[in-house]
Amino acid sequence: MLRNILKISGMFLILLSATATSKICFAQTLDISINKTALAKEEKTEESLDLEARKKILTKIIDTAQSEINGLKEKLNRFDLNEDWQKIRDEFLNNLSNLQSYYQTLEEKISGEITIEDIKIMAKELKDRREKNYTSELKKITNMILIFETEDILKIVNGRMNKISADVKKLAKQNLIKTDVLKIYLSQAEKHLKNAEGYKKDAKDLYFKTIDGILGITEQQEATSTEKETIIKKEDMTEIQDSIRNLIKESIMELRATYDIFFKMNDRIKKYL
Amino acid sequence: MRDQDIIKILQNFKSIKPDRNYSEKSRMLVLLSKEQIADNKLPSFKIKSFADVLKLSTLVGAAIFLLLFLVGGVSYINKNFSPLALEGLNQKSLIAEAENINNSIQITLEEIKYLNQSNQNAINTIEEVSKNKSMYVAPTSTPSVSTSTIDEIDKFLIENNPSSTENQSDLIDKLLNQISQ
Repeated sequence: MLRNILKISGMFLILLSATATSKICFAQTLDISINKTALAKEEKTEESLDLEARKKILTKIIDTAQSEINGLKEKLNRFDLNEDWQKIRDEFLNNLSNLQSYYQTLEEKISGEITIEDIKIMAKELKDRREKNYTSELKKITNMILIFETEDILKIVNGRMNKISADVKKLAKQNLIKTDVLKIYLSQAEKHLKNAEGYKKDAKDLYFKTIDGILGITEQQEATSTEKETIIKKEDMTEIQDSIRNLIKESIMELRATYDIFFKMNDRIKKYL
Repeated sequence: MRDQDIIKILQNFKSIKPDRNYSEKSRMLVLLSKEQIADNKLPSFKIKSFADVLKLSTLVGAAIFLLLFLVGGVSYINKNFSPLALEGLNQKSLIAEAENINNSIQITLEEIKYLNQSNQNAINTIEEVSKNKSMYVAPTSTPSVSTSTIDEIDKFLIENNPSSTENQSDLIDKLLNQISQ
């Protein structure tokens, strides 16, 4: 009898212990499961925040790029050009408009349903496009702007030179003051102005001569040509654009030298007035 | 006639007085004649009606106009027909023209510099976006492009301020070197 009671008690204890163990196991399983859900949630929140940040950055870059393109278009449209140069300008305007359309499409995609992977691919494409196309296009456009702006300034300086030349002649005719020094200054100023015109002309001619290359490198051509050929062509184009910019720089420096002499002449005249 | 008689007669003259009606009439005539003389002396300053006011102001206006015309004319003649009137070497217009040209070049060079920098910044930022590294941990990086843009614009405005202490020519040299690099 006692043996039976002990057996039953033992079995009860074993059962009790098993229940307790299973309870602990269940609690542990539940705990792990909760932790996993929290972690997943946390990961999801982190991912969505990351996505939002990337979206925001790209949107800002696109907005800035759009307004920069509008500024470039406005600047290009300011110049009074002949037919040949109008074609070049139209080509640039067209390229800029295409770029704006591309940006618009990107913005639409960004504002829609999109994953982080999608946005990474989009960013890579955008970076490549800016590096390969826009950077060189920007240099060409700004060089064209510099050439025509310098040309406009040259017209003003030429007008001033004619007036000053007439003044010196008038003073020499009246024989009221000695004009020898003024005449020397005038010839120096004329020399600088001639140099300025020369540099500007060289820049313009170089630009126009290489215009096929300037406008020629399109995405389609890039795709058909081998990678090596494209690189060489682009290197050449970069060098040509750098040379054009240097020529314009020289032209502007010569214009400044011309004005320096005009001021010296003015200082000399002031003594007699 | 004796002397005494004569003296007597003369003394009697003292007591002679004019007829009262005659004296009043004469006084009236004298007073009236004074008024007429005053009227004849200053006839143009006698303002009687609006027409007179108009007439006077026209005269004054014409006088002022004539004076200004004379002064302006003399100045114009001196400026344009004087032997030393020089159109090309006129200091004011020469300075104004040089400043306009300077500003025009400077603005274009600044714009080109800004566009190049902005493009480079954009490429660098886009590269970051294309990488696996999380972007949200550094939310300050988000406005980096726009901040840079604003900084550039601010800088651009300050440098274009004529009161800027930096010599414009030096600035243009610097810009020319920067954009040609």
